[in-house]
Amino acid sequence: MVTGHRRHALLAALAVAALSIPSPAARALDIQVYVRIDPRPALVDRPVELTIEVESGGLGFLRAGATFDLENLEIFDGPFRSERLRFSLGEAQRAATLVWRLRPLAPGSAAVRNLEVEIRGQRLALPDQTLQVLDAPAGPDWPPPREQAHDPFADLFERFRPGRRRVEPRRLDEPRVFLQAQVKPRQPYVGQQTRYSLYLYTQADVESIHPQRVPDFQGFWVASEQEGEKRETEMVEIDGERFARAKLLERVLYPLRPGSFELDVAEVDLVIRRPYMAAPGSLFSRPERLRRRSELLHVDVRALPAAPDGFSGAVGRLELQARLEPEQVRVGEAAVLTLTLSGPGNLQALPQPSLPRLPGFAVYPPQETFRQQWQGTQLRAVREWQFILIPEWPQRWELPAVEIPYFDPEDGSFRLASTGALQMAAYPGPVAGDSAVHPSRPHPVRSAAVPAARASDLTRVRMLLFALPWGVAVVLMLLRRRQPTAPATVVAFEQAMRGLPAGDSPRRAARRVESAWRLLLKESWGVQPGLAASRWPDELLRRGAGREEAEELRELVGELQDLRLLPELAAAEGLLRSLVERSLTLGSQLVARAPRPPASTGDGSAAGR
Amino acid sequence: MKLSSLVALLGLAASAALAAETAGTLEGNRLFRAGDLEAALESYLETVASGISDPLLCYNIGTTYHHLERIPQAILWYRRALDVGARDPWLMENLQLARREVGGPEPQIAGASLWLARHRDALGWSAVALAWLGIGIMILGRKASAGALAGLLAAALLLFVADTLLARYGPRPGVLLAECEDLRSHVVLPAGAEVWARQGPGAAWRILGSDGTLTCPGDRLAFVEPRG
Repeated sequence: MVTGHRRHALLAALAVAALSIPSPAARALDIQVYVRIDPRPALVDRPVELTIEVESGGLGFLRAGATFDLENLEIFDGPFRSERLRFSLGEAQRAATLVWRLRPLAPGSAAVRNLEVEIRGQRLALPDQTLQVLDAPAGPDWPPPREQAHDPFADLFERFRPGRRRVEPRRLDEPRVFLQAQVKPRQPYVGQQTRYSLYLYTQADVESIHPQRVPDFQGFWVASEQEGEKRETEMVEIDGERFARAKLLERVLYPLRPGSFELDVAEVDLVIRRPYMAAPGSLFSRPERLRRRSELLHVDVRALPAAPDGFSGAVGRLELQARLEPEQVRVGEAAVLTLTLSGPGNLQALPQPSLPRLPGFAVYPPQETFRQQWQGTQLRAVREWQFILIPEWPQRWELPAVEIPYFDPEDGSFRLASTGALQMAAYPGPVAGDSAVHPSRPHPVRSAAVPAARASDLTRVRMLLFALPWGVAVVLMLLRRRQPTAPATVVAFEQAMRGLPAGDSPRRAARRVESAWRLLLKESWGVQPGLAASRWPDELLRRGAGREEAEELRELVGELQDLRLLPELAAAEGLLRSLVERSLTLGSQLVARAPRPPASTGDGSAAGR
Repeated sequence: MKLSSLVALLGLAASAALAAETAGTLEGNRLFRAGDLEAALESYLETVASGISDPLLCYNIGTTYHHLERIPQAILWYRRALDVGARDPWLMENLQLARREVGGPEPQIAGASLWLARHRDALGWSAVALAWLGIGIMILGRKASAGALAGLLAAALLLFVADTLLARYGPRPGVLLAECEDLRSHVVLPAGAEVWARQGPGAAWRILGSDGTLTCPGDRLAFVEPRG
């Protein structure tokens, strides 16, 4: 049996319970469901969020749950649930939010289909959510997914009636967006620096740009793009319309051969913000994906004119500089000759410049460096060669200029890039045998010749010493000519005259004297030995002797006859002595004047004896 | 004239020359120590111009040029001092210092004429020796073959003639007083370089070098032995 108090409490509880339980009609009118998926478009491996928001009147918990099917997506994390209660205009409202983090699997289309939300036992079907998935650039590592928390409510709901439909927004005029490719110059020479630029012109806000296709530049050598190139945006006006222009791509090209070439189109996928009017006076924008393509470009490459000798393919206005460091070295030390070639050309393809002949130097193969940098709209290359030069002997040199011919496309002619002449001096190294202590300043003057040798003109002394023996020889020759050596005949005659025996009789003495005379006259004058003594004078006269000598000889012959007739030598001593002296004198005279000088043996011996 | 008078006369002449030379050197030394290098140089050169020179004077002229930092002239006079027989250690050190500052010793070059020029003194003294040998044989050895004696004397004469011709026409040692450049080979010899030179076309001189010859104007070259 229920008492009165208990009855009242029960009725109150039943009333509260009745009030708590919403009527089906009330549920159908109060539930509002919103669903969205962000961002759009999505990138592969980049998270997107599926958000379901449920709003309903009443105080009770919504206990919302959802089911759906995924295409090209997978749940990375979630669901994350939140509920809140608020009062508005005296009415209680509950809002619940469900969020899933999804991961796109591959580029292309992706979708969330068969989306149904279950709220307080009611199932509401929601429209499919589709999105485009694009290739993503390298980015942060995808965080590992957490394990999905088991939702005990997810299995309770099966089907729900669809919620309130949203009103479609009204679109505004479509903005203009296009791509434009440029090549400058359009008719380059072979090897001339050519610039390819790809511009995006847009009248809409661009959220993201994804290049899909770029030309492959067949027939051109592509130089590296400068690192850290910034994409600058500028405002331009075309046919009275304003556009924002951004440079998407720039390449430096060098034509490899003459001819006509086509540069392929470029394609870019863009995501722009398209504005729309959701309600009068309320302007919003939503992302939209576009693809744009540039036009095909034609490039006519011109051939170079006939090249001069030594041309190695350098095209572009080039500069060549030379630097020598240091300019003064010691023999055996190294100096560095740096050649710097710079300009807007394909310098990497050029061969090493050849140095002129450098006699007296050892030249080593160079070290090379290469770099490029932008100067305005030109890509300027700098190539350096460093030669090691080592002088082999002390000398001063003038290194001749180095020249490199190049083709200047601006005036269509060949020119010479040339360095100036360089000066270099090499000084001797340390002299072998130098003492460790060597004066840095010269010694002063000397006041005495210490320890030097006294002055002597050795050349003149040498000449004197050479001439002296010649003088002596001449003097000796003269002396010997004036005092000639007595001929052997005279020597024998003198010996015969002076060697007369002391005890001889006058007759014998006379005979000896006569014999000596006979021999002398035979040897010197050729007088026959058998000729009588009395006829000697006449014979001599006939042979050319002087009259005085002949008469003297006649007298001597007479005295000789007288000597034979003397009885004793004692009486003839005086006569004999006089005869000998006069014979010696006359004999020397006759020999000296003889027409045929007698032979001299040098040892005093009589010739022919 | 008697021999004794002749000897006395020669001795007086030598003494007068010696006195003049000493006075000039002393004056130059005094000016050098007083710091007036230009005046000292002038005094030394006046002494030389009068026909007097000795190794001391040549050295003093050289070191005065050296202190005036006129290195090519300094090297020239140091070489002249060496040429007339000086062997002063100060001379050798100053010459090495000057060479280090300019261009080092003369380059090593080869050639028959250069070898003969370097050894010209040996040729001359050989001629003297042969001449004395011949006259000695002539005096002492009466039995010597006339042909051999004539050959010996002829050889001496030949050597003497060779010495004379080398002195007159052969390469001579010199010092460049100014830079000299060969326009064909771009070889440049610095001022102060010690070279061997032979008479070239006109007033030019051919410098004997390791890779050929280089022609220099005559006013840029001074010889160690000035030719009268």
